[in-house]
Amino acid sequence: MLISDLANAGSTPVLSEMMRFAGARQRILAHNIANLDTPDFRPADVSVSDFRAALSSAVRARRAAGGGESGALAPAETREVVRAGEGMRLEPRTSRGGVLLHDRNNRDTERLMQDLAENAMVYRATTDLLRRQGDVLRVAITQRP
Amino acid sequence: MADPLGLIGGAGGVNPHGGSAGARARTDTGEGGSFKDALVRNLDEVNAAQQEATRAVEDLVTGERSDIEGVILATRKADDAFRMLQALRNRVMEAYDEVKQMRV
Amino acid sequence: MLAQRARLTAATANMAAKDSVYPDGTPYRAKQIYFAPGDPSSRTREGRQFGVHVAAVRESRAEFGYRWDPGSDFAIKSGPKAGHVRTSNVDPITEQVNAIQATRAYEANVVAAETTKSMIQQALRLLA
Repeated sequence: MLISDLANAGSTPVLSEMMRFAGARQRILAHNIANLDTPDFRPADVSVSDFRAALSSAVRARRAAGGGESGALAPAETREVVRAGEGMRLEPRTSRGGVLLHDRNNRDTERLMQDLAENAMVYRATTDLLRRQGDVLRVAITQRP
Repeated sequence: MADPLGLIGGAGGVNPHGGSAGARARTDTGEGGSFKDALVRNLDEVNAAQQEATRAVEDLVTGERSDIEGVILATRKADDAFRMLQALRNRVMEAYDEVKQMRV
Repeated sequence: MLAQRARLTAATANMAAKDSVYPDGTPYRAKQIYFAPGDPSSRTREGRQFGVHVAAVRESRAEFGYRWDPGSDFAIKSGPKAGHVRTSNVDPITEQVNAIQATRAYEANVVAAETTKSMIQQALRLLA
């Protein structure tokens, strides 16, 4: 109980969820970029806004339940996010829009690179904020400010 | 983090994950009351600041707010206040240890 | 990145060998690279789904060109194309475009790799 309380302190649950999501999405985006020139390939992606919406409701529920500083998050299951034990697996959908090029690949290179950069930024921000939350815990535990 | 002298109200040490501060008894204002009151008030403020920071971070991640500057300021404020309180608490404990060792 | 490098290599090799001829008189056929998604060399089932690899390297079946050169040793002796020499089916413009494409895609993949690398480093800093 004590360990789970520590693991669910403050903003830790939200940040870990987002970090897992961004990490898993990075694989998908890199796969799309690797197949920039592969004929018949359609880039796939998951919906970030759907994930954030599910996270938002879970956060609200957590606040209502106990004040918002403790307790685990329980985000709703979505089509795209599969939680198995401690892991998170994403099931991306192939995009249907965009321009179909002569090799039957509907890539949009600029969009792919932009998504990659944004995702990396989100990852960096969440890890930094997680580190800060860990520092707060550390000060409390060691009583060394 | 026990508080044998009862210097810090009735609730005992610093708890960054604490819920409401309502359980604290603040009815007695004996000698050194102004310092104690200040300390107790500070505890509430630090707690509130930490909760505010948590909310700010959560809202940023879920997309409810998009100003990263506000979140950074809120977390800095909360963390600095918490560290200050921790340092204060350490000083008070050191002072208590010194007093305890005095031979009357 | 490896796939794009293979493509670039094929393009440069095609351009370099354009004018060469096999001993029996057959000119050089352009080599073409075919990509497919996935990475069969990966050890995990999940790893095999991601990435891209070179599925095949085939010789182009495009038509050879013809050049009038009755004095050449390789000239065709008889038939409608008598006196012509067959030239390679390498099209320099196509090869150039392939080379440019491959370079661009290679650079995009380098960016992706660097980004992922820095993400991993940031995650590791959480442990410190």
